[in-house]
Amino acid sequence: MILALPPLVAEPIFHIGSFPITNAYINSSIAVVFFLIMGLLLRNRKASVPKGLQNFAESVMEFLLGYVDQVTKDRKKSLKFFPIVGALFLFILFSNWISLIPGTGSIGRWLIHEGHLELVPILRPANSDLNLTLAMALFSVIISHVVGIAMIGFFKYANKFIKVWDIIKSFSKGGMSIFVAMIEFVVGIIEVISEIAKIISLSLRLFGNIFAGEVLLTVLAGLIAYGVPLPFMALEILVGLIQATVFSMLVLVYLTIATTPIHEHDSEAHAEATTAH
Amino acid sequence: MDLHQILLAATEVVQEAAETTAHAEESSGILGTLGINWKLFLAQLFNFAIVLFVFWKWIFGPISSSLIARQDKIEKSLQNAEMIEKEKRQLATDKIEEMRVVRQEAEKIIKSATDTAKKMKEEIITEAQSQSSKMMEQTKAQMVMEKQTMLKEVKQDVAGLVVEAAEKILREKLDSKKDHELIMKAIKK
Repeated sequence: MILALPPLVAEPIFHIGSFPITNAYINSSIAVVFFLIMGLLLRNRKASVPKGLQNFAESVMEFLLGYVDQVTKDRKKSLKFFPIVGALFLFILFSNWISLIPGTGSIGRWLIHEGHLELVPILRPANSDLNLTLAMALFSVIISHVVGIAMIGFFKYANKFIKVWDIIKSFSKGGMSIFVAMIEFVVGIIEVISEIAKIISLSLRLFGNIFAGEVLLTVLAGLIAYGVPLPFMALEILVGLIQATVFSMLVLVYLTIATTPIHEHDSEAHAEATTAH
Repeated sequence: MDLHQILLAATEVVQEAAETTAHAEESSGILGTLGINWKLFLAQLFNFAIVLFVFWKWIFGPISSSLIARQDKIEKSLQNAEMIEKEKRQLATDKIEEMRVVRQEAEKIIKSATDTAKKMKEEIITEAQSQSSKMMEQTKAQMVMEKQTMLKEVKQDVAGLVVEAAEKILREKLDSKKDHELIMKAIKK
């Protein structure tokens, strides 16, 4: 029997009221349960000499914090952003990796799907549902704007995108600077568009990679079930790690960029002069 | 019967309509074909929010606080160690300084003691010398005096003897008055 290719959309397994419980949603809920258990176990561990699980969690945390430091170049900022970035990384990584456990995509219910009877898998990689990746991307981009406004002030932050203030200021200088300010105003509007593009690229990248991996594994398992899919499984482990890293690192970069104050052209030289001391 | 069939047909139509609208809601446009469904979207967002909360409050919170506490502790103990080392060094230099002062003082004391001893010795010697020379002079003077008295006595004795001898010789020829004069002259000569 040839396995049906997983469709683009996560399939509902059953409904609670009018709410469809899809197979991807089941997988992400498993990850949530895992994190809840870990959280409950680690909640009251504050020993100064760590043991066991606390030691493991601390070493993972410190390892990740090292990478975060390399991007932010500031421990304080790292500690501020780490909860968001770390949660994203670990959640994506965990849900990517549990979907490589045999049974995902192969154990299912026979349901009528789009008119004909089909084996609908109960488990499907959580990130092969665009709902989840879009939710995370939207959340991350919105939170980066919120953090940016909180850190450098609303007007300064808004001036990154809608550079009205620059135009007003340029009139006092006159001449060429008005023209430059006009161009920068248009660039600011492009920035607004790029913010939307950020959401789309973040969500589609993760969704596409994980979904493609699932399709690849299904096709290979359908062709030759024994041995051949193994190297591709190994590849998927790597892809899962890489995509989790890419997603969280990009979010971290967005957060870092959003919280660095904009250098104006004349103050830039001044800042350089002060840092040179 | 008719009414019942009509009712059934009506409910079927309503159900179908509801299903088609629900279907349309699920798969409308590009978002629909990509599987975006606002209910699922919110559910997944909620799932992620739970993970975020758990990670933030239950995992990151205690671990970061314990990490920071440990870092502080290590920093503090390192500082303490440095301070103790500094104090130790200070103490050592203080000790050396004190030893030097004490030694100087001791040397001073010894020097002054030897000085006074020397002085006393000299004084004693000079006093003894002066005492001895005084005593010598006294004894000399005494001796001279004794010699003189002895000489006087000897003279008197000799005179007496001479008188006796002369008396014995010249018993009858001379009286005692003349005799005495004669003797005195002889002695003076």
